[in-house]
Amino acid sequence: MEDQHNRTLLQHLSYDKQNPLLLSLERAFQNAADFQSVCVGHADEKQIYLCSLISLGGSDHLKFHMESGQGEALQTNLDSYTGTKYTVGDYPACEKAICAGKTILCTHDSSSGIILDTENPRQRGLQQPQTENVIKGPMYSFNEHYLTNIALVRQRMQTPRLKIWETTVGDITRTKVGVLYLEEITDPGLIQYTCDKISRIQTDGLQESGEMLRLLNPKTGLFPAAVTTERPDRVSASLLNGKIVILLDGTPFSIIAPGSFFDFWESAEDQYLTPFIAVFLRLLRFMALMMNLFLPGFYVAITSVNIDVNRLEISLAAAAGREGVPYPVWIESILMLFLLDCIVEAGIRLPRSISSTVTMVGGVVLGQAIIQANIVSNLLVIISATTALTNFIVVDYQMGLVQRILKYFILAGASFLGILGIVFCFSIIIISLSRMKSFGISYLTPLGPDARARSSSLGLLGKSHHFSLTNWLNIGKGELP
Amino acid sequence: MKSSSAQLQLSMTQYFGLQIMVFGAISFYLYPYFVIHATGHGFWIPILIWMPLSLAGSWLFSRMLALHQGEDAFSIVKRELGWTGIVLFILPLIWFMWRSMVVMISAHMEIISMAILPTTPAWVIAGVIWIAVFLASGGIGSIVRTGMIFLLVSFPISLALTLLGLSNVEFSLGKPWLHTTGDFLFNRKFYASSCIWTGYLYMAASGKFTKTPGKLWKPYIAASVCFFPLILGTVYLPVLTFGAEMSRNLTLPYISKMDSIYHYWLVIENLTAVFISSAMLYVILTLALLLHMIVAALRVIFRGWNDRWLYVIVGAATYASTLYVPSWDWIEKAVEWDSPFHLYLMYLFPLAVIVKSLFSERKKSHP
Repeated sequence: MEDQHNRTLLQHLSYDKQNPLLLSLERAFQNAADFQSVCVGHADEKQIYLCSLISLGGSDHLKFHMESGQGEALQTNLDSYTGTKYTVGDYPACEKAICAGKTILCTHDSSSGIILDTENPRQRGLQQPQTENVIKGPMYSFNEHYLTNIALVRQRMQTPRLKIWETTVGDITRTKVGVLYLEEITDPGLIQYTCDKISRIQTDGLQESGEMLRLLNPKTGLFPAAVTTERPDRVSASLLNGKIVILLDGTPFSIIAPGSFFDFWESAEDQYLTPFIAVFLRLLRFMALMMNLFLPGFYVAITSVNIDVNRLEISLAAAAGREGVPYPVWIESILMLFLLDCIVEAGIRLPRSISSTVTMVGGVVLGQAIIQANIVSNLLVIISATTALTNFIVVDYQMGLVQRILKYFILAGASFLGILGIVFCFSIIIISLSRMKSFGISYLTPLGPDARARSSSLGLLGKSHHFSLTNWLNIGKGELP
Repeated sequence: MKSSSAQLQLSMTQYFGLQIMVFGAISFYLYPYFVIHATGHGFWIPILIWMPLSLAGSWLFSRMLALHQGEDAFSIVKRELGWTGIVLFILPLIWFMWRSMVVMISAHMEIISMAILPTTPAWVIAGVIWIAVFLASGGIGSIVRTGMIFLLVSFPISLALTLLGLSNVEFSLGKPWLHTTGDFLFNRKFYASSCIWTGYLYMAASGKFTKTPGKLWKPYIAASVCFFPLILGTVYLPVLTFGAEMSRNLTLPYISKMDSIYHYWLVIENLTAVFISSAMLYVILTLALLLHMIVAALRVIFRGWNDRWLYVIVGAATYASTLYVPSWDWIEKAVEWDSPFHLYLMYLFPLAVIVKSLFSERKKSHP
């Protein structure tokens, strides 16, 4: 850099011989092998240093040239910087900036430094969603880079009304967190509530949105407090619907809040289909939920406790199928469901090339063998297979896991009190849901009180083209904020 | 966004839903027995007489709440009548509500033991009260939300069972349809049958969660009209199936009727189990509503007590009491004995508070 320019630049720096920035940074990043501080020139007899983490910062923004210095030794001098406008920061700001991949320009005795935006984020390209596949609709999803995710939302919502409140969470990880909302559409109380909650989070680090959700709603228990999605189209639809979206750096999953139990049965694709088909699909999912939860319990109830409830023919067929099975029905059922859950879990965790083999061995070979060995009845194999199948229909992975646990709870109730036990378990589940709140809003929205008021009901959106089952099921009176 | 239950607002639809649930919980077990025993014919007359009377009571009750908007019936009584009001009205109301819970649980316990779980000990079935405690401790918001879901599940089942019950009836068994001697007026069971029309009393604690308490009688009327066919069904389905004489000899005429339904296309053979299971949803919700009410009443008397403990104490007391209920006869008698109580609370309680409030108002305006 030219001497005149260097002098102007260095005038921005402050000097305090007691606390030189360079020394403080070198001390802070001691033993960090990827930290480097190099002398890149001098001005007014002051040596100029560049400090950065080479693993995060890219040198694409900086240009160097080499020249022979004193004693004809070659010297590398900073020639130019291309990038956004630089800022000046003190030690804490510089330390934070280095951790974020930026480069600090300082002299050997300055107490502040010039922060150059040389960040070079490591990120994968846009890919298809891994957990929310659709036949019709956008085919890309978020990735792990915060700004890329914001950009994807901005591309879909080209309005200045899209606001972002930003903060960092985690004393060590300093994870960037953004709360997105649409001005004049989202309930200001909800924004305030969420931002306050996030500000109050005290943790060392944050890795994923699920972790964030737990910290924000510690009392939700078994059920997930809100929907998480990796689809930008779902995010923008939710924003239009008056919800807020929380994006985290380092994860492709964003949080759509507040969550309602019924949201977990809505697929992103539903909005792109005609209402009748969407209703049919949701009914299908709802029926699948019922079968998944209650079928094993119902089987146990009608074959061991309330034998007279069923038609005699079916009862006789069930009894004949169980001939030779040495265990009570409930043990037989738990055994089968547990095995099936193991197969499912193995299929998910193993590499794809092996998982299909495991599923084949587990499902077909083990299933056939277990019947021939008279450990379980034929009917129970059908019940278990149906239960497993209906579990895969669940749109949301978190809710699918909850269902896998709840079916054991209902099975226990059915084993103990038959159909009445199922009713009691059902009641307890519903009561638990009714007591839950997600971001201060009823988890059973649209069933009030404390149900969320839809943005369209506030008269801010005009006629909404967005299809939502909540419109159809608006039994609870939504309350205006 | 709402931060506390004090700011909750319930819609009239939600009050309607709660009323339906209350009707479902108290209509199916003893009511047909009382009406069939109250008169020999024209059963619809004693049924219909209580309906407008209860509507008048609900109107009085909503007027009382409207005079002191934002307050529950107990706070109103305490403020207007002081300790006299507590002794005259709140304590009897607590007693009546507690007795209603004991009777409701005991009756359903008996029905379950008789119909679907003959070998299960009573103390297990009586444990349903703890589910209600769990629900009630969540507050009125939780009760209403649960009520809406229970309603969506149980009401269509009850309606379907009533319609199915029509399939094997003989209408000539209901004759004479129009003739009556008014004999029921001298029968205690006629007055006991008014127990199903006390539903609006259950709103004593939850009536404050509306901006228009003066209109609370409307959801009660709507619920009465909607549930009326089912109430008629509980009496007439057994009568039109077995005849009035035989129905009179049955302990649980409506349950017996459910047992008699058979259709080759029905997958489920034992409809009684389905009926009882769906009825339990009504019962759980109503128990929670009663618990909520008792705790609200106790809070007026014992101010500093922790709500959670009050729920547990009331739940435990109710649970223990149900285990000491000796027989089905006792349950029948208990409802009969309680008739003067609930009639007193249905009419005299709101009337006394209204009169006292109006006197106070007049005193203020003409000191």
